[in-house]
Amino acid sequence: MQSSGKTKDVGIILCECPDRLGQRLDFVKIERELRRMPEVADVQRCTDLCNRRLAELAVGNLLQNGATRIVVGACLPDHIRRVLDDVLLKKAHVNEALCWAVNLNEQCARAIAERAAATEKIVQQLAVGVRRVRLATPVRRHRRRISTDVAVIGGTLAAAQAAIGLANLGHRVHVINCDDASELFAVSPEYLAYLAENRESADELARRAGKEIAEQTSGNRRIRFYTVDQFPLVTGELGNFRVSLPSVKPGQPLRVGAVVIATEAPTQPVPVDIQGASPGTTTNLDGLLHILRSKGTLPRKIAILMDQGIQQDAVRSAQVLSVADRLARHGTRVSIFCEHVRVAAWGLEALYRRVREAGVLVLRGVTPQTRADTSGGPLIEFTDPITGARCIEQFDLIVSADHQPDLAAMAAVTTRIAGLRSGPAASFQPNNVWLTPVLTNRPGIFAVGAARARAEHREALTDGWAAAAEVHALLPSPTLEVVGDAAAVDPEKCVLCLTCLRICPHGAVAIDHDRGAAVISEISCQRCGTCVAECPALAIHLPRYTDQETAVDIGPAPKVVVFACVNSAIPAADLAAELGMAYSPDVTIVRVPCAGQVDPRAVVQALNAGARRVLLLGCHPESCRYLSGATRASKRAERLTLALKEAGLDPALVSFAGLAANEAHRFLNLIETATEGTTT
Amino acid sequence: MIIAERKPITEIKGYLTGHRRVLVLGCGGCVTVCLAGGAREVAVLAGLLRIAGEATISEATIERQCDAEFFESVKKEAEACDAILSMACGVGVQMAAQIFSSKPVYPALNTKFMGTNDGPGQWSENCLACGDCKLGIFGGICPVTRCSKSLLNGPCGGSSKGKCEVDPEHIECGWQLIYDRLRTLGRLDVLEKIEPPRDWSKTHAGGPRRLLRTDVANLI
Repeated sequence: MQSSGKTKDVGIILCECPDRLGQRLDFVKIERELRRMPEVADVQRCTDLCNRRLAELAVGNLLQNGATRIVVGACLPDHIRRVLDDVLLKKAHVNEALCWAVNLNEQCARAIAERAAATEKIVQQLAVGVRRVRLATPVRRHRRRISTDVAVIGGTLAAAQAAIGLANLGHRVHVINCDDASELFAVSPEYLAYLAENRESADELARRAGKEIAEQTSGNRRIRFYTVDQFPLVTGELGNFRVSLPSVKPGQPLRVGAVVIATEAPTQPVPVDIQGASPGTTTNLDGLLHILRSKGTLPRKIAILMDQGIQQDAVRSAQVLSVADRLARHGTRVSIFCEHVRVAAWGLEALYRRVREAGVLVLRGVTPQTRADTSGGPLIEFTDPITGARCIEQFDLIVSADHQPDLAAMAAVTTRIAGLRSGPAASFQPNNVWLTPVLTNRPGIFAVGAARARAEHREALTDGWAAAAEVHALLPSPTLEVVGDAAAVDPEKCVLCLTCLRICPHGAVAIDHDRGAAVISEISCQRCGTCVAECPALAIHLPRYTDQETAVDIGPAPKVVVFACVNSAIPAADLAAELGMAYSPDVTIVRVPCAGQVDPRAVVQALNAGARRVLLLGCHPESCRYLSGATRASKRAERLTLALKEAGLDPALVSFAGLAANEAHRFLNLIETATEGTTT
Repeated sequence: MIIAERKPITEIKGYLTGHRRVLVLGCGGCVTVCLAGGAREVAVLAGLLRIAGEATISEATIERQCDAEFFESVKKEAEACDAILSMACGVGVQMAAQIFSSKPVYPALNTKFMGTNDGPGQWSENCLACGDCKLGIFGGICPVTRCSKSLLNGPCGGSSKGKCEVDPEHIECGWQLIYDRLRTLGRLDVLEKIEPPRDWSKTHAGGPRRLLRTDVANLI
């Protein structure tokens, strides 16, 4: 990244509106100081930058006076964005990378009481802006041809709903059924028992629901069906996935723009392990359903074990309760042993009540022990949660209702979609709020219904609709705009250690065998910079956040440096400013795309430059915008802390904290703690 | 690949006591790949030493420290220093000591083993360089390395539920792995043969080893 050849090419536009800024800052002084910088071609002060005509006029003057790189000083992120988008980018056609914005209001807030101090701080910040835009190179955009077809993998109701939704939005849909379900869109046994709560025949209800939706899909000309025996291999990326179907279309993979995973949950029943139990005295939920449906004689006394060790969800509770309901109505005595009954789904509370009224015994908070008995059915030994008494009871049948993730089945999917991460339990959606409702860690790949969380059928249908809407928002037309500011690998420096490929939260890295280097996809890269901070050979850079640019941000003599994530800490800082919370002007805030981008070298560099505290502020790790960035940042801070301690230095020099965008008070507390005893 | 990890900084600082100017020298080979001694680690360690502030620190990373030629680019830099802190494996440190014969060269890393990268930040030992590879017999799993006792006719009585008694939590029984693998390959018959003792002279027990390719070496 080299600076522009011309010496005087930076224009500065300042809003000095009397309402918010005019009183608090000495704009005459600010202009005078900035005009002294050799890079500055012109400074325009505008009495109201929110007024579009005034803004255009000021920008016009700047450009006329030789400015090609622009620094905007205004208040409120929304106002700034409007000036950038509407006036600079769209109207004046200044490249977005050559613009830099300073939130004057936020900077004011740091020293709000003191006009002179605030003015000085603003001059500093604008000067950083001037140096930053001088280092920038223009970002290029281009459009790439993509496919708007979509592959929906799975034979569930959610798959059907996604297909219908997508077809309605004009996409061609390829539904690839790789589930065991013999009939396409068979309603899975997962839902059967739940539906049974309506006291109608569950099988009939399920069949009807399945038929209804199957009719809708089969009548649709935009939807095509394929049946295959295993989860297909998916390669490529958003806009250009290839889905191999060797048994259906050998050598001709489907080319699709997005993939929706709508398979059954890869789970398997937890077996009841009772040594020496006679055959037929233990089974799982499917076995019990089979007994119910076969209409033979029912056992007289049944124990159902649920939520034992592996946490089960509301759907499991629904299944167990509705089966117990039916059994009780047939005169069977049912006891349910469980840690919890989960009733957070439509109609479940009522079902739970009805089941207990029907005489089913529900023992919560109980972990029973099971053993065989020579005189008859197996025994269950447990402590009664209410009386505390030790009880032993004999049953004709013990049923294990729990399911556990089927790791082999999970791997069958994650190994066929490179970079796809599995989530908690048996799902393909990591546990992160940014991914709700239907995103996976990989752009362009979605998970619906049981593939993301075991959901009852209405939720599964909603998922289908949601996925259709998400896909359509990404792929509205056969071309996709690509912005050339993704993280990039220098093939000369890359040693192919594969660290980036393995840690990229979005599966955006691949091996370029021709160049012998890692390569990052411009489409899949989310610009978080996590790889930049991990590359051991310093081979990756992220435009706008290069070493040089970070050095400008940190400045020559920082006191307290705060690396602040734009998804959490920066909005929190803006909010704090908006609420008028003042803090020390000694704080240097460095904007980072994600805490995961913060390079340990930059932290050490800040300390070397004299910083007495370095704070890494990112999202709360469990809800990091880029999934693992904040966690990585916290781990790096830990490692640095240890190193500082080993070196005989104060380990408190560096710390990480997670916060959310609305936590202005927490932001202020963190800043105050960091500046305690360090300010002059 | 050679796997290494950084020494505690306390120990590194101990080496550097009394030195006024130190070159922190990274290696672009194995230790870059295993995240221990590449350009990034050099920058972080050098930065920390600067903050600790006892000596003037300069930094550089060369292609590989196991080849003399690559040191050429840092000779000048090294001459200005009174000690070298090498972030290479033990091989590189010794080469650096040979090149900079008049200066103390200190290791910044502990060289751990030769192994595989099992995922980000995870490595495990797979080869002891015994000089007489038996992997072809044992289904591609090395009894010398993967068995804590290096038994060629295992397993021993310390194998339980597929784990090794040396550390049942972390070490898998190498012989269980060999058995499982040979069963998959349908070659359990291999295990019916008694493997004779190894030729120990081919290992390090025969002294430091050398390799000379007469078709390549010393030709004009």
